[in-house]
Amino acid sequence: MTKIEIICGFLESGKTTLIQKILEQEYCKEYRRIVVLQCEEGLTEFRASAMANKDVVLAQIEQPEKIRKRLFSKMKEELDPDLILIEYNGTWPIEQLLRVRLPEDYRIDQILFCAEASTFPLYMKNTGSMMLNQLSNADAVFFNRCSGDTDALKATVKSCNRTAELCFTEAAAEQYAARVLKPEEVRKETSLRKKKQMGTAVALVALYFLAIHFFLNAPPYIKSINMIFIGILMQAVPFLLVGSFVSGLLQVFVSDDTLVRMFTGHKWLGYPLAVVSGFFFPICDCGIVPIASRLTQKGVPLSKAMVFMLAAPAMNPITILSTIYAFPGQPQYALYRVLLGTVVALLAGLVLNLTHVRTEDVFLSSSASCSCSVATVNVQGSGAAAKAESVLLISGQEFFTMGKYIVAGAFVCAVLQQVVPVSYFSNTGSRIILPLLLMLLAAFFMSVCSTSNAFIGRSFLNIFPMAAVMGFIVMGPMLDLSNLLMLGSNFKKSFIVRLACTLLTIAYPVFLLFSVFLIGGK
Amino acid sequence: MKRKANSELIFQALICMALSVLFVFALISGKASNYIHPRLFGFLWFAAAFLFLIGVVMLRYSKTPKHNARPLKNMILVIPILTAVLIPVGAVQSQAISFGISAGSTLNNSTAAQNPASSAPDKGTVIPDTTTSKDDIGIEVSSPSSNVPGEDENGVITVTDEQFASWYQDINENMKKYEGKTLKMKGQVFRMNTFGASEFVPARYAMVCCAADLQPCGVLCRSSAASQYQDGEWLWVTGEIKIENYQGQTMPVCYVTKIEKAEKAKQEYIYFTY
Repeated sequence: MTKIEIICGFLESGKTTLIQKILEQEYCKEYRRIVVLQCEEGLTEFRASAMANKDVVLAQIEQPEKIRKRLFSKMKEELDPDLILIEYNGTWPIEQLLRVRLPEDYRIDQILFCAEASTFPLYMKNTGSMMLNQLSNADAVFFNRCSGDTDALKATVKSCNRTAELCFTEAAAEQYAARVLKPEEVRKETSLRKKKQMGTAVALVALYFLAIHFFLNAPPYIKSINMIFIGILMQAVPFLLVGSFVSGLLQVFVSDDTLVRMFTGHKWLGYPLAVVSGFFFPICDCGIVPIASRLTQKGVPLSKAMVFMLAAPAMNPITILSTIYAFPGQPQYALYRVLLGTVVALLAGLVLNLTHVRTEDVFLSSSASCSCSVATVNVQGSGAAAKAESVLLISGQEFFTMGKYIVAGAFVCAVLQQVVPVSYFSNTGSRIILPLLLMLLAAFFMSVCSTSNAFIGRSFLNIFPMAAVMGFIVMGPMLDLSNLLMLGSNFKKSFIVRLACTLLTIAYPVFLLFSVFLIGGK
Repeated sequence: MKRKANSELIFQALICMALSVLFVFALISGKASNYIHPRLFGFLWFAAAFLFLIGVVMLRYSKTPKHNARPLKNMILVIPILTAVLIPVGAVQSQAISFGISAGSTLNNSTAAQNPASSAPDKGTVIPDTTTSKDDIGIEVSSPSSNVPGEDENGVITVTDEQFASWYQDINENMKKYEGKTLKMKGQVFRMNTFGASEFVPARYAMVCCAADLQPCGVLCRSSAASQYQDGEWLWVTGEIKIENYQGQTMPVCYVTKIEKAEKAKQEYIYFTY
């Protein structure tokens, strides 16, 4: 069997050096013949004398079109190597290579992405899709000349590739390469993987039969949980889809710069504008975080950008619509939602302003943000059809990103409704204090999207009082764990913790007052 | 041959299409009404169409291979599809009536929690009185529609399946109108553990939004023969309405003169419209 390792990354990212390092390792002797295929002229030359294995063939190609079936079948015929290292051009799409029909026993093993720590954020910002294309396919990312803070780098990679292993030092990179290439290590890994796969397969089959048996003879309470579960999903999914559709439209038709210009052009309007503009960004709340980050980066005052980020999910027209649908005949709850969201956002902005938090202190200087729904598939061509397709693709990605939270949220809800004794909270002396705290915590951990959390919140009404549920609905998109994690790619951790604490301290009294208001209104 | 397509995207496309087919099936077969209020059907049609479109486009683009594809990443979205297909519907009502109690008594409990004036937290939704239910989430008593049953020549007011929802809203709003009248209504036997031996409610399950807020609705009945009937049994109940104070609430109570077995209603649930 012939293994193909792809080493990719931009020019001067240390690809050649890495390959040289690999070729110098003792374990390379165990390979019969190694072919190194270069797709660009590196600035570093290979030093043949230092290589461990003497049978190394160097080859070069200049055009991406050359990468096709023939290249590999010819290589097999003429050279018959058992290891191919490809130094892949940073500007060629990786699909060019992945799509090739390889000879029978040839296999693409790993894609290793090299990057220079200092230029990586800049490239990420400016070359966008080109780098994303390779980065999102990588199994491991090696950072060279890394000094200081690695958090921003980590966050950036994680935002578009969750599985990649990160190496920040040369030693770590070498270790990783050895794990991939050292024959005995590889054997160990494969047998381990096989065992794991077997285990999962057996477990899945067993689970399948158990599930079938269990489902078909489901006891009544399982059936009722299921009814509630599916019911919540059926009403939440359409709104989630509308939200992701609009989000897709915005991402395709409105560029980041337009958004930023809109904001910085109207500085004098200040906080009211920050609140109101939320209405014009009907993106699901995870889409608002990158926008807010970009606004901060481009010089919008921190407190204003944060007010925008916090108020937008509440002002979102789709959110308002779904709230109206979730509480039929009671449009006042949609109004409460908007008002409470605005109040909490403004108070948080005020606190940030008064405590003189400066952007420089909290912003990670060298970081690039990419949206939570990066369409990792490049749409070819231009024109209306391609645009429409990319809107649909982005909507789809967003739907899957948020769908997970909705499913989990609906499930928790359905189970709680059946399990928690109804009288539990109404009988305790603290009728609002504890439920509110629980609902705020639930909002924090469940991360349900603002466009559909009204439905989930609504079903909590069976257990919790209205004011607490309102807390869940309003604070959900603001305090939500996944959003805060996403903020982490641009802001220091200490700031995020502070923001979360500020929000919690503001929200608690606000909703206590709200519950007094509700009772008083009766 | 080697992996030459993006399995992750194929899997996502399949999930989208499965969901879409599921929605369409639920809508056509009418099963959707077991889960959500019919007013949301339009949205569900939209969702089905949109998901299908997304699925088609995703399939088209799945030909671009992805190296580290993790098709099982979205496994969690398969769970609702499986449970929706495998677990039979309609269970909330028929077997799980004991849960109906909790589901039913909940909404007003939340009112009770907010409203210290209401001294009967265990009262449930059986018959909410107008003043507390006005602003509540549960059964909101809106203006009665014209679809309210009238008296026939024998002075009996018969509530048909279709009229149940509007009649129920009407009787709670205009209790006096029904005082002393003879009512004939159909519902499933429903009891709460606070009920006396002669008490039961011929209830229909009402949906405000979705299955999560299903709640039994009906008028409390008193009959010496009550114990003969099982929970969940469908009955035609005829009796005279009196207005009473029951555990701190003013509400209509029906003194039963006649009970007959009844057919199951065509529509599983009743729906309040606003």
